[in-house]
Amino acid sequence: MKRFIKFIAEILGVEPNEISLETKYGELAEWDSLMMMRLIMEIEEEYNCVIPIEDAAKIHSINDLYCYTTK
Amino acid sequence: MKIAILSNITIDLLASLIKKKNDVYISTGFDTWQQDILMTTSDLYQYRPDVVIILVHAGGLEWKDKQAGCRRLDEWCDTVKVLRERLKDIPIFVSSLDIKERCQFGSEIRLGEHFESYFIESIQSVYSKLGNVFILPVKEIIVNIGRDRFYSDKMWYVGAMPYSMEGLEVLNNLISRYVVAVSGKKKKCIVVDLDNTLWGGVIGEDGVGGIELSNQGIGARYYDTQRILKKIKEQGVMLAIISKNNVEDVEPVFEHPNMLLQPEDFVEILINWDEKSKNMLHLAKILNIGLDAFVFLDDNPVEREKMTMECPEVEVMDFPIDSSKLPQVVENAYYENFFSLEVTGEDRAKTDMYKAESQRKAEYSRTPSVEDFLKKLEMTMTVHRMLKDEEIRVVQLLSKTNQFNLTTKRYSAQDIKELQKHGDVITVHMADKYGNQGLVSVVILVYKDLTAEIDVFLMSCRVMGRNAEIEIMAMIKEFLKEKGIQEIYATYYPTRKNSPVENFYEQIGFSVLEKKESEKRYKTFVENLPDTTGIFKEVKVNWV
Repeated sequence: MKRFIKFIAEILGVEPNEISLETKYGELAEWDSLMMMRLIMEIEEEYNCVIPIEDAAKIHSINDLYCYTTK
Repeated sequence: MKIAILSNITIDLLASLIKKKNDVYISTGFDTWQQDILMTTSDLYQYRPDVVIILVHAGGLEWKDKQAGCRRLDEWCDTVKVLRERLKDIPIFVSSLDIKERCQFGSEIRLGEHFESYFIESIQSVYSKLGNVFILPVKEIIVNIGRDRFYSDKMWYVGAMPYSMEGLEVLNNLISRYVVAVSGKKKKCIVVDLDNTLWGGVIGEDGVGGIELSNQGIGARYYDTQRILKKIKEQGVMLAIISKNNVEDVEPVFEHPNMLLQPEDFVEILINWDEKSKNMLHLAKILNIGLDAFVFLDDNPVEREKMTMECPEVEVMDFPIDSSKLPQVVENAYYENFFSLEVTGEDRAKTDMYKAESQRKAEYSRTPSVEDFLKKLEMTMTVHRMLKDEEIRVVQLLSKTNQFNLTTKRYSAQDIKELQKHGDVITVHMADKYGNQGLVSVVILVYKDLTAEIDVFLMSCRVMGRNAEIEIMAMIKEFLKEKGIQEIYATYYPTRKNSPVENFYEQIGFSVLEKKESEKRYKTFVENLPDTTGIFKEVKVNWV
């Protein structure tokens, strides 16, 4: 989990302690729709998982992203 | 660099990558690239870019009808022409197209490929009429990495952005390569080593017949490397040689049937035993270009590190561990350092031009110190009398060492046993932070009436240029002092290969007793032999 937060923080360009699993989409200036695309791509690549296109609109928090890496 | 990227797709992500090194402009709104160009009042012209990249994506458009497709491409091309005319001196890069046709049946006409080449031809005709418009070979990188990796369907459907993360990266690299070509931060000269760089093996040891160099099979990796270097040279980059070798050993290599590079391909050939950094400074001076205009290719990690230390401005290329990668590494270096958009006649003639220049100039300027460098190698040395299990290696060194070999006596194991009756066979081992060089030097001392004679002094060429020979002499000095010997004699027998050590004994304080063409006789007092150099991290001596 820690590694995941660190990974996400790096992509967002923020310090790991600035975000947590509870961080919501819209709370961070860095996390816009463009960043959402990038996060999805980077997570799929790094964790070798699939985030289906149907789910893209249902992602509201970092925890929602994290779930895909533990499936 | 101010880069404007115009596109018919979402390129924000790509722009965010390029922004790391450059200032980037992208059009506001989606697929407004043509409007941006056509409206004289658009932000694009306010921005005043240094370079414009037009990235057109064929996906999402119909490419079924030949006429309709060509019409669209003509329209794109006309827009490019407008931009060309409005921004006269600014290079424009237009991406090549990749048209992916789905579910094609066997006999269906491959229209996609027709459109792809039609577009390239149209853009090139703009170039030939108006100049300064170039193809950005996007299709080529897609072919290299494959569509499956280059594209991401999901991103296309979610954000009208067709590329995968990897696709974005290679696209970013391609663009930065072209931007470098525009910015003029190019290198001018590639300096190469010879042994294990232009051919496999050591010419001084293996001879022309023994080196690896062929137009097919295993030696072809060096042949291909030469071919690429020659191509680079034809594009106006200068080639030069800096090699630690004997000129007489190297000369015959140019007769080798597969030696593609010939002396006239090089602007300067520096073959000697000086430090390479010293030669590099010399080269910079005679060619009258800065050290930062050089790229250095050498298989020897020690030479590379020395160059980095002594001439930090020089771009030192990483040498592949697997030499089958050498041609690819050289090609990459071309794209990184020398890539140019246009080749002029002047570029091609540059080698000849500089050659004339360098012949007019002469002499070195400053000699960089190597002591600090040598200390950083963290060298260690072990000196002792030959051990039983070292005999084979000693005989081997005696039989094959040519360059650092003062007397070039080829003794057998039996001969050595004889010599040990009234002398000492001393072996030297070395290691440094890169690894262990093993048994690298042999000294044979023969005693007669309280004097000593250096019957053999040889050293492997792997440790030449490290002041090891001085350190060894310092150890010999201590050894002889302990034995109570005061005078020491030595001889140098010249051979075809040992000119690097021609004046070795003079340099360490011997006096010449007799000088003939076939030999030089020397003598000195043990007291006058050199003291320890202080550059070795540790020297272990064991005379028991």
